[in-house]
Amino acid sequence: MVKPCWRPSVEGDGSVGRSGDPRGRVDGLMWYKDLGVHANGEFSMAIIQANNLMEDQSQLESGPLSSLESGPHGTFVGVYDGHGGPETSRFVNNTLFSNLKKFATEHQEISADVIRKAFLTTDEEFLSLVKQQWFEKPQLASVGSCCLVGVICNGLLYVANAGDSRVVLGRAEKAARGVTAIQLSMEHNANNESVRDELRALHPQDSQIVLLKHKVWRVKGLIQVSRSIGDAYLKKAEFNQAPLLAKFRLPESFSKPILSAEPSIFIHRLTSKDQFLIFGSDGLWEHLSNQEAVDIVHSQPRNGIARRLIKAALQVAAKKREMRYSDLKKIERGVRRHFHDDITVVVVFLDPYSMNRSSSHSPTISIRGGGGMPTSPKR
Amino acid sequence: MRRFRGFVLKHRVTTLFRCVFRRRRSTARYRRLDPLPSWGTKSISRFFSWTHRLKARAKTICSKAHCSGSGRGYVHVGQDPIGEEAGRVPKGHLAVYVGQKGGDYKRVLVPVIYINHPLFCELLREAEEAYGFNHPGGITIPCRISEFEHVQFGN
Repeated sequence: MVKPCWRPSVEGDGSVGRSGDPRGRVDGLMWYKDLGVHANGEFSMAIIQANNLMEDQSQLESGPLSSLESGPHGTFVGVYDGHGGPETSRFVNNTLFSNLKKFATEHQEISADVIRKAFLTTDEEFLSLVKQQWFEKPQLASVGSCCLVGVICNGLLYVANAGDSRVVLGRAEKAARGVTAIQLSMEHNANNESVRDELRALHPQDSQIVLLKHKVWRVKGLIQVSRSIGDAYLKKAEFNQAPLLAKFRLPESFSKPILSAEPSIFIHRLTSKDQFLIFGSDGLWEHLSNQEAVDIVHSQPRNGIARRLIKAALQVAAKKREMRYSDLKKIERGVRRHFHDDITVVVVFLDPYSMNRSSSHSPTISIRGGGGMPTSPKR
Repeated sequence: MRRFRGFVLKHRVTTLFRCVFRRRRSTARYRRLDPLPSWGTKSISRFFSWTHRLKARAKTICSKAHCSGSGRGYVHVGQDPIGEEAGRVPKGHLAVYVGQKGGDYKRVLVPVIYINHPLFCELLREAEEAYGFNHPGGITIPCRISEFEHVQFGN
């Protein structure tokens, strides 16, 4: 029953790539794919594990975006930052792209509506899985995942986001003599005042819809994000009861879902000034600013750039915890979570030549972040 | 070139003496959990440890002379300023703050290898319950310093 959640994360042929292993390499708690080629240029991916079980998942798919050869072609990037466990992010990694392809086939195009339907269907599918396993695995109701997706197709970039991951565009500005960081996604995190206002407006009768806990704003005092896939216990009242653990149960029932899977969608027409995109889970952005990340990508070689961004973030994390980066690397998964979160970075370079070329002849690539990393808990 | 060399040597010599004597006088502002070699009470052993430290210190200063620039009051272009700052914590250690909520916190240097120990993990779990993962600054452990030392030496 749980099979879709527990499938090993290495999949796809991934036969194209300039450097090293096409499926990426593992070095301790780090997984990386230093350089590969997608339909619109090159890419670099890296992830680092901090939790006992990796909760971040990611994928890059390039080639046909529907089941038809004649349908839309392009690049799909997904960053899924799980919370409460790895099950939802793994489920999203295995189902979201196929749902997108299904709707793209029906509509014969990529559009905001197609992406939105893919998000909502994936969420419904996960919630029905929670229902099926309610008595054997009630804790599945408290697992969820943020979901950030970027689709490049026909010169357009679609960004769809539910949660607090972020994508930043690096754009060459003549006046700035460098590359400027432009944030393309909005985070649905209760630490943003606008998100708290939105929640209060949606639940006017609930004075405790957002609460400050450990100096951090949380929805119902439980969760920082206001949109996600999964988190069934805050979407359907039927899951907010025993056998769910008491710490997740709300004192009173609710009629309206508290969290939603509705993505914020942004569409951007790519120009020759647009150089690259940096997709990152919140673990990256808590240590690096948008401009710092863009400056690193702009000033250093492409090969291994995602890994370099993670290193820069970990150096900041080590400094905050008053230790050295070399010592931070000795700390095992699980305990690592006290120093930094799981971090996923996907850098997608936008090559103008590839963008103008008919991308229908580009090779099909499917790569999942974290292949070969441990999937069972320690101790 | 010759004048420059002379200057460097003078600088090294003064640094050498300054370092040696400062080290003798200074009392640690924090407690170390790995016991430092205690200063012997007999003057002869004190003398030997002093000469040993002098030798070690001279060695590090002389080796610094080969890679010009490092150990001086400026940072090389391209050198990581983060690494420089963290240099205040000795290699292989991290600073944690131990104390009870509302009271004073004691800064303690803990060898990094202890962090992975199950007993320390238990303390960190308590820290997470009290402060969450996103606590700014160093790791803060909500327990009495005496209990903390018990965990430290009880294993």
